[in-house]
Amino acid sequence: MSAFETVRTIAADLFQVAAAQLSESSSPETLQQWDSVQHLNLVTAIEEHFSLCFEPEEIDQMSDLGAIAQLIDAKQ
Amino acid sequence: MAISIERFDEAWVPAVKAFNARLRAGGEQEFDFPEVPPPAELPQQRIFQRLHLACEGEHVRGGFILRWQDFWINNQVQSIAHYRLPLSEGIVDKRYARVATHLLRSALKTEPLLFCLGMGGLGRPLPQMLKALRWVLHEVPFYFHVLRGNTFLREVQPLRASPSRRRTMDLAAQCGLGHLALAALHVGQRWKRHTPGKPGRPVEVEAFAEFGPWADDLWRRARKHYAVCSVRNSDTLNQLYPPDDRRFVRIRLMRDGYPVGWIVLLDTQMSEHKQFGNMRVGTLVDGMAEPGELDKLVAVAIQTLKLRGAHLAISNQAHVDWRQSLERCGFIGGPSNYIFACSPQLAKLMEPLVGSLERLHMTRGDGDGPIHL
Repeated sequence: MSAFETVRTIAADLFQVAAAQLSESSSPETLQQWDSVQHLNLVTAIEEHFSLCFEPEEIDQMSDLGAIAQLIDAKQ
Repeated sequence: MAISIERFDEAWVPAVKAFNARLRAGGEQEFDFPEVPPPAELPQQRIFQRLHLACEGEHVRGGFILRWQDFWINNQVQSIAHYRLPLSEGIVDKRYARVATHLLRSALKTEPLLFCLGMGGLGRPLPQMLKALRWVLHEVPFYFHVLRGNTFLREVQPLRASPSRRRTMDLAAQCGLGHLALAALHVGQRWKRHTPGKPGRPVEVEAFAEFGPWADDLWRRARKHYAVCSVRNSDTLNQLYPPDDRRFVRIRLMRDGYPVGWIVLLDTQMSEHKQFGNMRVGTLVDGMAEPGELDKLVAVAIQTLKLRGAHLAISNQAHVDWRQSLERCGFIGGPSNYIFACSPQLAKLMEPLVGSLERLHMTRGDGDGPIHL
């Protein structure tokens, strides 16, 4: 499974939406459930799943699901 | 554009003002970020704060404050920081939803030993974020003692939420039954918590303006009863409760000429307050004593507030000895939205946690201080 597909699965579970509704451009602006609290929940869920730790500057780059997947690929 | 964390200095003042203006325009009425940078820290200053901004180019998208203070933790002094007023443009513009996480992670990177206090209740966004980061969250209980029943019934807003309730409260106040019922409630509480014992030696009660070496001596004697407590020596206390701040009522207990406890009170006339209406509210803000002196200290506080004309006495107290004293003096527990939260690293220092949280001394004098009171 690609990084994006895993991120999409985690996000779907967190935001309680079907994975098919999420794309690389899904972001807080397109998804009502994605607020500051859920952003942190998403970051920590991804860190746990991939055994990664993101720096604050990296968290800043997480503007949408595609950007998150790219960040994961870069760190692995 | 990437966001970087910068220290707040004069150059950023216009951008901070613009940030606050955008928050207000977006509907945020409760909070704004300070628009004046902090003064330069003095050497050897033990209480100091730093304001940090989340900057996107020349724009401010958020900020937080870290305020360092010495704490007594498991018999050692440790400097820890209060994470205060984190504000993100994400609350009014979802393009910046990620800023809040960036703020919190940056704060932890700057200082792993962090705590938060207050926060308005467990359901608010900040406590939820802290929980997600495995912080320990602990409710600091709220207590109240009605001093003038009729006024309380006419002014306490949460009990007057509907027209029928308002009629009931007004009727109870008018006929005097409400006052009697409240008095019986407090007497019942005292009776329930009463522990018979020998009458104590007489005490003298004194008002004072400034903490001195006597407070240092008392702190050295009393601190062993507190597992986690901000250092309450005279230097710290005079900073927290400046002698020229006439809002604070400072009282100490003396036995045989020696100070055995002190308490700081506020006595505030509320106006259209969302909880207290137009009541005069007395707050037991902060205090220090050895456990055996607490009942007398709390009793003196109640009496002082009564004589000053307060309608209601309130307090938030975490320490088990303080809570039991309040209850023995007739205070009743109410719903609390005052939360203490500590970072995982700070929680490690506090281990064993269960015992430390029981003997944690957190009051309305801690954190932001007695705001809104």
